[in-house]
Amino acid sequence: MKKRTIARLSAFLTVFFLAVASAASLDFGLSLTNDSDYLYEGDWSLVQANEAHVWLAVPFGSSNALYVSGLYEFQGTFNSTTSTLVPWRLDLGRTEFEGLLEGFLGSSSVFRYSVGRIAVEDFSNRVMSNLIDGFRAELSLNNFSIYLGAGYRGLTYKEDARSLIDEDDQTAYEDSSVYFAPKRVMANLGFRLNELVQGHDFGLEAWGQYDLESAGKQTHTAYVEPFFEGRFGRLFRWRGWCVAEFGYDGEFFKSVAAGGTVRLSIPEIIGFRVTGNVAWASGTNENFRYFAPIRQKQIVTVAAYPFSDILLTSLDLSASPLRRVTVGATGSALFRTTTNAPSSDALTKATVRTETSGYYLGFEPTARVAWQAAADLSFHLSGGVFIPNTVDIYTTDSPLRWKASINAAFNL
Amino acid sequence: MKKTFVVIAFIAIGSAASVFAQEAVFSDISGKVEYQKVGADWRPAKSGVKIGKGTIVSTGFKSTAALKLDDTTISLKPLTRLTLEALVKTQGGTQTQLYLLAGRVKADVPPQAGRTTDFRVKSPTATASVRGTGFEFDGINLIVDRGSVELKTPTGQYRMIAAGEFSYIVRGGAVALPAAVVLESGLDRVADLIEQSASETLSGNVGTPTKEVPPAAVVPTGTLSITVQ
Repeated sequence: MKKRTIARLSAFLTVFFLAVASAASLDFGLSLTNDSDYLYEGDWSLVQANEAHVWLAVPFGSSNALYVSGLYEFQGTFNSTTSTLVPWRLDLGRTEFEGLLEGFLGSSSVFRYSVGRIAVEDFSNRVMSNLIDGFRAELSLNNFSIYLGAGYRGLTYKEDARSLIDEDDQTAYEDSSVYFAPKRVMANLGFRLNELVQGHDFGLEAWGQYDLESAGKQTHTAYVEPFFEGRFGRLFRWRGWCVAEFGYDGEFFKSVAAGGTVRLSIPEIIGFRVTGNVAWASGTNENFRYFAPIRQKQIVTVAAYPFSDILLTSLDLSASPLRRVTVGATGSALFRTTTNAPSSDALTKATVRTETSGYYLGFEPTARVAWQAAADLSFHLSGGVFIPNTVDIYTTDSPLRWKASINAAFNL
Repeated sequence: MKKTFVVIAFIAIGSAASVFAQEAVFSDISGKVEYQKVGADWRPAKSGVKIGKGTIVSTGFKSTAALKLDDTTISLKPLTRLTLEALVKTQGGTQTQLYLLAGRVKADVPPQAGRTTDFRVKSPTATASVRGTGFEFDGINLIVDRGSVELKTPTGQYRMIAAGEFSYIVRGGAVALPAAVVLESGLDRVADLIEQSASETLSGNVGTPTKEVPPAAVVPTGTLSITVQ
């Protein structure tokens, strides 16, 4: 019976697929990626991940389309004593019905919408950048755009969602029996004015998340994020943003973050670029709580510091000495903004001194090579080391943290 | 009253008389290039041949041609077909309108002191209007050699694209932030230009690779217009 059901289902899917394919200009593809990360911090560990990502796009008319994607992932973590294998993980990727309506409010307007498992991100990419199950809508009138969205995060994979707003989230994240992200709904609203001043855009976004977890502490947060982006002349580009976070977990709290980037590009000199970056997130002190974004991300490549109680300054140089080859190097200096203990997850083998008063956490130089071997095949090799500050913050026996990564991607 | 009318009539007649048709001249022909005048058969193009309003010009595989109108040069890339819709010269300047049905053109329109140059390239999905600049355009992608161009979508969104910059219409019909690029290849390597432009986005961790996201299904629709400031 079960075999017959599977056979019928397979036949139905085949017929459906062929019918849709013949009726529409269907597009589909496959992406295969390999990520191998080698870490050494007194002891070695290897994180191996392989992912197959299939996607299908079916247009409906000239202005609407259905996009479906799914992924298979293998992940293994190995070190000298233990190995942890996740032999397979199947998940739904970006899957949405999207479309646009032109002339929605007069001839100079366009309305865009997406419903399903959609990708959202804030301007700074520091508050939120992930998939949610929900919708997004945007109305553009000339150079003015207003957009809003809402969705549920509790059906996304916790490693992707990286929802680490309070202690409950941290507990659930570390619990290997929990697969999904904490139950939280989120919404955003924003506008953007392109070329408000020639070559410069301005916008404002508001993000919020509501904690639906009934057990434990509930923490609700909202974020207000004004931003600027523009360029001076042909070669200079810059952007700046700041975020005010307001929250409630039984009592009200607030925190702040800000950042900016400046880039000089000289394409005539082997595609040379120099980029300066600053990002700051408040820690807990008499005025502010630690900054807790909706999605917590590692802010540098080797050290796993989260974007909280941190000041990052970095300088990146890159060039393309050969066509389809890009080389680059980054130097990042990290500081804490308070004298509170730095994140314990950032460096597993480094020990924080009992009496510390310094702010400088350490320096991280990295280098990378990217090679687009063919239109569908690319390789990315990178490596770096985090040098912890053993004078002020970490004990003198804290080892360097090394990391080497190779990424290969094949897109059909 | 009668006198006023007569004066106005004379001025109008005088102005009309000063508008006269202009002709374009073929030059730098390479490969198979043909033209078809109104009501005539297709003929192979040769350097020095003059063509006028209504003429259709077509280039074949690995074939290129240039058309000259006074100081203006229009370079036709391979597999291009266009119609000369208007070639008009007045005392105040020139008016040129081309209809680009397929392919790619590169226009070099030098500014003329004391005269206006109204140069337009229309296509099924775009209109490019030029006064004193140089650019290459294929309906979606734009690279500017000289001057400054306003790239505008039908819904009114625009960005200024300066000399040495590239921009294009991204998914959903928005104008991408311009990126400084090397001009020597023009739009021949448009995929590289798009990748370079996308990599100029100042977001995320500097130096950290981002995972490729498969292309979106919805492609931009509507028309695109370019006007020069």
